Amino acid sequence: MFFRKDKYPDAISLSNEEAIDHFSDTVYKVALNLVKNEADAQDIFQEVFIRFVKREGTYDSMEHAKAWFIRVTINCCNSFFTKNQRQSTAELLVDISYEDKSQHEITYLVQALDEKYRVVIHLYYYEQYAIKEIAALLEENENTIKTRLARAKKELKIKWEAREHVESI
Amino acid sequence: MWNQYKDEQQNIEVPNSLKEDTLQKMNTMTVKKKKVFFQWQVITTVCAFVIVSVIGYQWVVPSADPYTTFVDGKTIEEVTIAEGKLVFKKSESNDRYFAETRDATKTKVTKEQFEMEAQVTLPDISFPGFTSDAKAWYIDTMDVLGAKEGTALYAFVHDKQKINMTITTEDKTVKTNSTIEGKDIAVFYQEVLSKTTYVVLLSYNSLSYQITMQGVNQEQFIRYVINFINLL
Repeated sequence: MFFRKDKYPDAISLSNEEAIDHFSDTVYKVALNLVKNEADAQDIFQEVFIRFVKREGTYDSMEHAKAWFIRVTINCCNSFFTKNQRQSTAELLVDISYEDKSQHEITYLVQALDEKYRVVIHLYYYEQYAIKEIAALLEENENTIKTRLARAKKELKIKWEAREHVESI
Repeated sequence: MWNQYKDEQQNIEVPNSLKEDTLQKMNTMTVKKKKVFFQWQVITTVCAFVIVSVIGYQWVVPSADPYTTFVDGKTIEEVTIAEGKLVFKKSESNDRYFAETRDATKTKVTKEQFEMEAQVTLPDISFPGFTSDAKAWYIDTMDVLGAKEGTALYAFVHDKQKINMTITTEDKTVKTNSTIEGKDIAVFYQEVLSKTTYVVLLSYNSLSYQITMQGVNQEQFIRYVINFINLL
């Protein structure tokens, strides 16, 4: 512990309250984006924060802590998929529902994408991570992330245009 | 489109009940972890204390029967004097007599007491300049022998011309050679109880003498023992 503090003089230690305050939003939205189900997202949310309590370590910075939470959230979602044998597909759009659908148009379209595209879109456009950072978070090649992002955008564009076409009719 | 996505995501709120419930679980876990940590600390401390106590006890406390080593495993008969303060012990094999105090204060034994109970004659020795305490000699504590059994108990010796006398101190060993003419004396045991308290166990003509002195220095004690031997 002392060694880490020497190495990272700005190392931080988060209380339970601070962790919830700072990262509940990020964790919940990543989880919801991946599992597309509020109840499951809430389970994953709790699992992530319980892992935080078990971890007991310090973080080099708030960014490091945030990356840790996102990484753990993705891991928990993957475990969830493995456990439930229900890799997300486009037709699972019905899993999530918002009171006012008109307020979540793009979200619905994003959630119709494959899970590997959804997470990239979310991290890139909502969490504002760079491609390099997303590659590090997902432990993937940068080019892979670029390709996924491009495909996701292309697919979304098609869906968006189709939606506009339907509305115009 | 992406700004709209961002806005939509921002509209999604984490349920307060979820936050509160999670925080409660986290705090409960933290308290449990602290409790477990505290319990481990207590357990570790207790274990360490027990281990140190056991090792310390074995190191400090004498073995059960110090006489066994001394008299080659022969049994010893107890004779209790009237006051009950001392127990004189005699080995069955060679009629050696020993005295043992019952308490740790080293109750003095008068010459008369010893003569009466142990039926041996002790020389009356006095040294000018000694304090009354220092002059008082007495038969004492075989339990001292037991306390150092295996390390301090050594029968060594003597020939008719010389006694090799070793005083073992806490930090060093001092050897003193004394010549005692015509005495067949064995020094069985010597020990320094403190810087001013010494004990020696001698054997002469099948009788054993244990001399303990307080309030003297090493040189005075050695002189006393040598004079004692000369008078035997």
